[in-house]
Amino acid sequence: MALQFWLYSFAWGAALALMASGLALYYSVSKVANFAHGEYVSVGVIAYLILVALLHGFKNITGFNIVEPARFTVDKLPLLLPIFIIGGLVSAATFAAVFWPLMKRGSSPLQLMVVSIGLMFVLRFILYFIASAFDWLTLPTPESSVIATIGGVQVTAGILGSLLLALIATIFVAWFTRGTMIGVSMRAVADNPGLAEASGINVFLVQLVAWFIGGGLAAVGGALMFILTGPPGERPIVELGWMDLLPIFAATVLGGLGSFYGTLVASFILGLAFNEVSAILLNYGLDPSLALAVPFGVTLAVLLFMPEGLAGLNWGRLYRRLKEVFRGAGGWGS
Amino acid sequence: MPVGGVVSFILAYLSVAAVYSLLSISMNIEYGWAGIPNFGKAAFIAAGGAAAAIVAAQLGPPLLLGVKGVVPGGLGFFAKYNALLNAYAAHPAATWGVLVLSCIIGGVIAMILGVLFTFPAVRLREDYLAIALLMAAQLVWIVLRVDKQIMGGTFSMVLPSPDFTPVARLLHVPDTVVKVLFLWGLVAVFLYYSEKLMNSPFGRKLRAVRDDEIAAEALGKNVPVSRLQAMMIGSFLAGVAGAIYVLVHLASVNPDYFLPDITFMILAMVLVGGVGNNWGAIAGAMLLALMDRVGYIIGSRLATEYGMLWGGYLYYIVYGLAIIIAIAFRPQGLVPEKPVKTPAWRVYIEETGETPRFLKPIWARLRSLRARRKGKKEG
Repeated sequence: MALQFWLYSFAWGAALALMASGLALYYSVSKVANFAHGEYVSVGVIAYLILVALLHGFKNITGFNIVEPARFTVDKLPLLLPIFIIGGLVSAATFAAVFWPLMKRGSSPLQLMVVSIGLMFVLRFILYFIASAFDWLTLPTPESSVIATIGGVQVTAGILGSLLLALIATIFVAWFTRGTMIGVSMRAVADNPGLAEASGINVFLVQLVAWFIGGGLAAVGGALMFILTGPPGERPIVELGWMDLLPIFAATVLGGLGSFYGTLVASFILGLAFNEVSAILLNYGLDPSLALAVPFGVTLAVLLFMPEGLAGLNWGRLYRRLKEVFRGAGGWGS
Repeated sequence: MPVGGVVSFILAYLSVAAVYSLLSISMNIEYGWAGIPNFGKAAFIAAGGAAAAIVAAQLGPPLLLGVKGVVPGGLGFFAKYNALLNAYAAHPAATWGVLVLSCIIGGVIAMILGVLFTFPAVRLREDYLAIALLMAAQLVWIVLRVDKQIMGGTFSMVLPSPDFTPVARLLHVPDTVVKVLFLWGLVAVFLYYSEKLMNSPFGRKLRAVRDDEIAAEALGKNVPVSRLQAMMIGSFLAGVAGAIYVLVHLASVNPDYFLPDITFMILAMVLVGGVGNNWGAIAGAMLLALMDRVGYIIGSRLATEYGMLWGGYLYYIVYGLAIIIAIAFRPQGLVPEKPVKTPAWRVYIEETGETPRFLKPIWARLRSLRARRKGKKEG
């Protein structure tokens, strides 16, 4: 079942890509290392469960009763749009209420980082409050319906959703940052905020939009990750975002903090490596949660040897260099 | 609430506040003076906790009691370990040996880990450092949970807490009073050390690195090495404080005591109390420990009596709001930072025995002013 495993890892990477590219998107314009990003992910999980409950008229949905209705099927795909909007609103609200006033006052990046920790705690408490009101703190993995079986490989709705959404998000962001005025301004702000402001760009609005999209992507990624992997170990579902925060940061650092496409590529690489190592650990009878060493090791290696990440690599030079090496070894050219 | 309840609440509160003060003093060296966002404090506290567990079960018995130690995680561990605990109870001096050994070993392990985890990102921006340290802490937590030979996995392991009874009998007071006095004595030691160190040229160097990296570098200060030094000292103190935390305060150890939550709680204490001020760190620890205790009592009552499970997570909103309010309205904290007590010229005179050149005209002018005033008075 190697192919099945690869597909699953790829879908996992896609969900991670959604979450991490959201962080990269607003990091590029605001330069805030936001530790509350994990909570936007958890917002997606809770929003998914609440929307499912709403579809059932809030009848008989407390506790484990939610598991059967929360089964992910193709006709639940449209639910991801409201999840995107909810996550985006939460993220934009936190930016407008907390980060922007502090940034305007000239707080240091260190202070913004620390305030994001405070925000993380407050958001997590609110999520705990909602989850415990419905008695959803510990839930099993919601099942995901099998759409098709191709050559023995089962494609579930969750896998399809992740891959599809990652594709849609990439196309959407590519179109948005090149085809719309506000997207172009976003790139201008990312390059040089002072110059952008001087040329009449509304920096606040641009950042607000970036945070909206970033938080929305995080929430969608969180909902899909919950469908794919279920709750994080034996911790409450509210901590899914927190547990995924470290892979998210590893992906953004590997992608070159703030680069959208670099983060996308990095997420898929990390997804494969993380799941592969989990499987190997499981084979050797070790605890698969030790696979966290992968994002950690990747981050340390990136920080030590190429702090600019994948986005900072000179791809053309790397390609030429590789070609020379292979030609020298009697490979490609000869 | 009866009088006994109030007294025991105050004693429990004072003991928590003392432990948090130890931790926040060590956090303040890193965050307050050196400007390092140490989001991995939990890992260094865990080093102290792991050292305590190892000493109690494996190293302590052969060294202090003269019997064979047991490795946690094996079959029949608890029966053998209970026998060991009984042996410890019969030898009060051995429990103190455990404390001293764990403090030293824990501090050294924490120091090594501090250098290892900080080194990759020490030259980079602070966000990278924060991310790397946070990941390291999470990894340490997972390793402690998975590796059952350190502290027995996810079971809480009871530890031989130091025996205060002989002293208490001598002073005719309850054990807990002596415990609280002992903990606050340690706070005084930490405070003295930190005040001495931070009011020295070393402390001034750390502040220079924090405030303006480029200027500090231009003045010939090695920025990465200064950061590593601050991390070494802070981590060593955190390791010692971690051993005290599990041995004296909790008397048991469990990997879940070292969740990243504790890092951020201590960070909140430093922020509320005073960034770069030891007295402020203690004030913050005392204030937030009180709110934490009260919140815990209210929350657990809500959870057990009214079935509101979120009561158990009340501390999140206490610490979260504390951080946000502190940064938004009083970024310098309750007790703001004070200038370093040793001016550079005084150190220069002490070291070289001569007046720095820039001071000579100033002093000459002062002398002439003073002479003129004197002349006016006389005339």
